[in-house]
Amino acid sequence: MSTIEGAPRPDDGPIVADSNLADAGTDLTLADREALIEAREMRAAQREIELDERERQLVGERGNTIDLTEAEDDARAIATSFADIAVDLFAAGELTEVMRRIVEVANVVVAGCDMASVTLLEGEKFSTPVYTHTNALRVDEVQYSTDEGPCIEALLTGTVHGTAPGWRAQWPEWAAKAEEAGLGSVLAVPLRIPNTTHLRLGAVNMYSRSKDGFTETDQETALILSAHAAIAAVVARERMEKDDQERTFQEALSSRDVIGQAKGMLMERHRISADEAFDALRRSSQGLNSKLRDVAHDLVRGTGVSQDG
Amino acid sequence: MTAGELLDRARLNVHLSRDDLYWRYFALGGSARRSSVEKLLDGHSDAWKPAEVNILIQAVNERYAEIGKRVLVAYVNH
Repeated sequence: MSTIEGAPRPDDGPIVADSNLADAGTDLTLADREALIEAREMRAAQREIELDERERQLVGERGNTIDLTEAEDDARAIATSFADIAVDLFAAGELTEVMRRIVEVANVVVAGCDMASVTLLEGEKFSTPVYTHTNALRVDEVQYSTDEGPCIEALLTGTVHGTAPGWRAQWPEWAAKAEEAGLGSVLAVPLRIPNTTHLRLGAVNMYSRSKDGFTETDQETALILSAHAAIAAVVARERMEKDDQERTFQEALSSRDVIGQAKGMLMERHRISADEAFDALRRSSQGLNSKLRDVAHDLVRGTGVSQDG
Repeated sequence: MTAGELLDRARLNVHLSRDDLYWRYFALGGSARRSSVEKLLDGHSDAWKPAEVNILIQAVNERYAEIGKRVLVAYVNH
């Protein structure tokens, strides 16, 4: 039978893990053995104390002992949740769809949030394209009519508004209207990609029915959400711009094609140059008060009137 | 003021971006490059044939008609 080098064999006797006990062999008295066991237990207890201390250092929150496993589970759950959110936002496609999903997610992941909306700035005009409750839309619109409020401020400055002490005093008129609508607090977070120039993409507005309804954790969660949302919004906007460019290009090609055909017909029919053919189409266009492309289209279809314009 | 600069002023009057104007010009069969159109609008029109300038003018005039203004930029003789 082959044996593995160093592995215990059946006739080696009991395996003793503690080196002191092993060294002591069989000459030790019962009292000696008990003393050694006690020493071993003391060392184990000391190791446990050291591990607890290290755990406290790792958690590092004002010396409170926190269950590290629980904290790790929470962190893992948040990470998984935001990974799902990122996938969901990128799958949204169009900008409005991305925004709609942002407010839905805000309502779920930000604990204090009872309703949410998104503020966008197009040109000089603020708007709320998506919202979870009409009250959110209503209080957003109060801001747009008075040109002030936490959501506008968050969008324009790229900073979080609504949670600082005394925020109500900053916009007393708006705060009163918000309270009339049953809203006690607001958390307005800019749609902003961290460490980049603030693009004034928009702001995610979260409302709570409670006064001081948002915690620091809510604010941190909202910031992570807004960063995800901002990236998804930029991607969606770029995608839309690219689609628009492709559409413009295809339409331009189609227009060139029909104008080219019409010019060719005129050149052949009247023995004129390409520039003269274009001038003929241009004069017809002016005379008929139609676009040149439409005149060309009619000519190619055989319904146009064009001899020399 | 050159013909190109006048055309650029007309473009602003009808609220067309240079990008929009270029695509309208291209759709009408214009063959100049985008950079060349930019140069023309900036006042450097040496390399432009009158027929090509007229295509750009047509693009601006169609925009005038779209927004209901009865103003036309004069075409270039060739």
